[in-house]
Amino acid sequence: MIWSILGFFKKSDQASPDLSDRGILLQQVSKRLGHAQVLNQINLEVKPGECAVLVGRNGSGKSTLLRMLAGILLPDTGSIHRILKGSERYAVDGLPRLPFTSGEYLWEMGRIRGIRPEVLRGRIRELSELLYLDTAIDQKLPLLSKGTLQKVNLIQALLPGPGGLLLLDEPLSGLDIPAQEAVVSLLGQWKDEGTCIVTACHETLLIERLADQVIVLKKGSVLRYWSREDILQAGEPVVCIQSLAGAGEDLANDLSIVQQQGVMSLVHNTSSGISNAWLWDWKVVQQSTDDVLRMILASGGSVVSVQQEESQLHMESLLEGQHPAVHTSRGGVTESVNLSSSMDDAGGEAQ
Amino acid sequence: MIHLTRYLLRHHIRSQKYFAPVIFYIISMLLIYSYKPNPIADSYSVTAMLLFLAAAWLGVMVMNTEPAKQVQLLVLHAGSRRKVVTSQLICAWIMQFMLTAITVLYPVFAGMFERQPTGEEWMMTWLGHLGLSLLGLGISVFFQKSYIPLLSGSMPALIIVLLLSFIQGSLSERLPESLEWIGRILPPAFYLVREMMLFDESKMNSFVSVMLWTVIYALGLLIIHVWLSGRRDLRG
Repeated sequence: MIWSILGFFKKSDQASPDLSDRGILLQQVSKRLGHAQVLNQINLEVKPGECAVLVGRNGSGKSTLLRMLAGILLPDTGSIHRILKGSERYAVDGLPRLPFTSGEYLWEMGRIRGIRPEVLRGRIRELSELLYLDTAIDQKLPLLSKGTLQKVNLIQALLPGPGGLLLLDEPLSGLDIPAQEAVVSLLGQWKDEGTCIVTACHETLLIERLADQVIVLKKGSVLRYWSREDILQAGEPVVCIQSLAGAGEDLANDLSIVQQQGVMSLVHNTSSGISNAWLWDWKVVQQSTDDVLRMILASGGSVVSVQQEESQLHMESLLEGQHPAVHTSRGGVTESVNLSSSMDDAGGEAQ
Repeated sequence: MIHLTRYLLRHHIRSQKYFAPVIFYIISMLLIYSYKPNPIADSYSVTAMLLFLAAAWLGVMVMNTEPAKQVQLLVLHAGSRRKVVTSQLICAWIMQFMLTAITVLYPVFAGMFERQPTGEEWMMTWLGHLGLSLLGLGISVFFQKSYIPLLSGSMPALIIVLLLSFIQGSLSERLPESLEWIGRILPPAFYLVREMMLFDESKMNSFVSVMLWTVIYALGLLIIHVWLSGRRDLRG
C-alpha cells in the first residue's frame, strides 16, 4: 500500500531532489517569549532529502523551534534562510477538536492548500488506508481518541505529497505500532524523494530509521549535534533481566555484583507484590548476559525473565547530551545504581 | 481564498459563537419595532447604533473562533498570514451584511413604518448601517485574542471604546482645549448616527462626508490590522 501511495504522489507532485535546493539554514536564531528566553542562538542546517530530529525534555524549545521554522514565530535575532522548492507542512502537537468529521476537515484543509478535488479525494483515501483510519473518517473530531486524532493531524500535513519542508511535532505520539511503522516507512520514502523533514520526536524507531542528524536541545540551547554516523554507532544491544532474590538481600550495595563486567544498572523493582522476595531489574550488555545469569543462579536467586531491548538507542543518554550508545539509569526507582561509563566525547559540541 | 473564507464561515456557524451577539441584536431590534407606526430616520438610526455594538461583538467572536493551533495550520495551508486574516474579515463582513439586510428590510416588509422610505432614505439606511457595522468590525479586530489574550480583558476594553465613541460629541465639548484631540481620534460612530437621525434630503452632502470619514476610518483600522498580522508572531 505504501508503494501505491508513492506512485500516486509521484504522478502529481514535485519529488526528485534538486541541486538548486539548499534546504533550510538557521543562523544564531534567538527567541524570547514573555520573560523566558525560549531559544538561544540556534544554528541548524537541513538539506533537501535530510531528516533532522529535535530531542530534549519538556520546555527545551523543540516546538518553538518547529514553529520558528514554519514561520509562525519570527526570530528576535538571527536569520532563517529557506531555499527550498515546495511548501511547508506542519503537524502540530495536538490537533484542536473542531466541529467537523475527519473527512470534512481533511477536505477543507486540502482545498485551502489548493489541491484539486480529484487529486485530493484520492490522497485522503490512500492516506486514510495507510494509517488505518477506517470508519473514523466519518466521525467528528471531538469524538476521536487521541491516537486517531493524531492520525488526522498527520494526514493533513501529508496531504500535499513529498517535497518541500515537513515539520512534525511528536508525529508518532499516541499512534499504534502498525501506524507508526507505516508513517516511518512513508517518511523514509519521501525523504529519499527530496523532502526536508524536521521533527521533534522521542521514538527511537524514527530516530534509528530516518535521522540524518539529531539535535539535542536543553533550555532553548543546542546541547549536542549527533550525525547519522553517531546514531549508527549506538552500542551493542542491551538485555533486560528480572530476577528474584531473598527479601532484604540488597544486591545494589553488593560490590561484587555491581562491579561484575557488563552490568549496567541494577534496580530494585518495588512494583512486584511478592512479600518474601525482592524483584530486581538488571540491564546488562548482551555479551555478558550468560555470565550475569550464572551469577544470579549461583547466588541463590532465580531468573524471572530475560528480554533484549528492541532499540539500541538510549533516549535518556541522548537527552542528557551523552552519546546515544551510553546507557544511564534515572531516578524515580529505588536503589538504582548507575554503572555506565562516560562516552560523551563523541559527536558535535554545540557551537 | 474562497475555500478559506467558506471554511471559516462554516466553522464559525458550527461553533455557534455568533449566537449571543446575533440574538442580542435581533431581540433589541424587535423591541424597537414592538409598536407601529414608527418614524423612518429615528428608527433606523437607533438600529444602526445597535448594529454598531453587535458588529463589534460579532467581530471579536469571528476573530476568536479558530483555536491558535488551527490558525497556525491555516496560515501554512493558505500560504500567508494576511490571506487568513483577510478571509476572517470577509467572513465577519458576510455575517454583518446579513444582519444589515435583516435590519433594513424587516421593518419595510413587516409594515412597521408610517410610509415607504424614499430613494434617499433607502440609500442613507443601507450606507449608514453598512458603514457602522464596518466601523464596529474595524474596532473589534484589535480586541481579539492575538492582541488581548483574555476575553475578561478584551471585552471591558471594547465596551469602553464603543461607549466613548457614542459620547464623543458631548465629550469633545467638555474636554479642555489641550485634550480635544481625543474626541477627534475616537471612532466617528456618534456623528454618523446623528446624521442618520437628523437625515434630511437637503443635507445629503453632510451625510455623505461623515459616511466617507467613517468608512475611511474603518478601512484604516482594518488595513493596520492586516499589515500588523504579517509582522507579528501568530497566537501560540
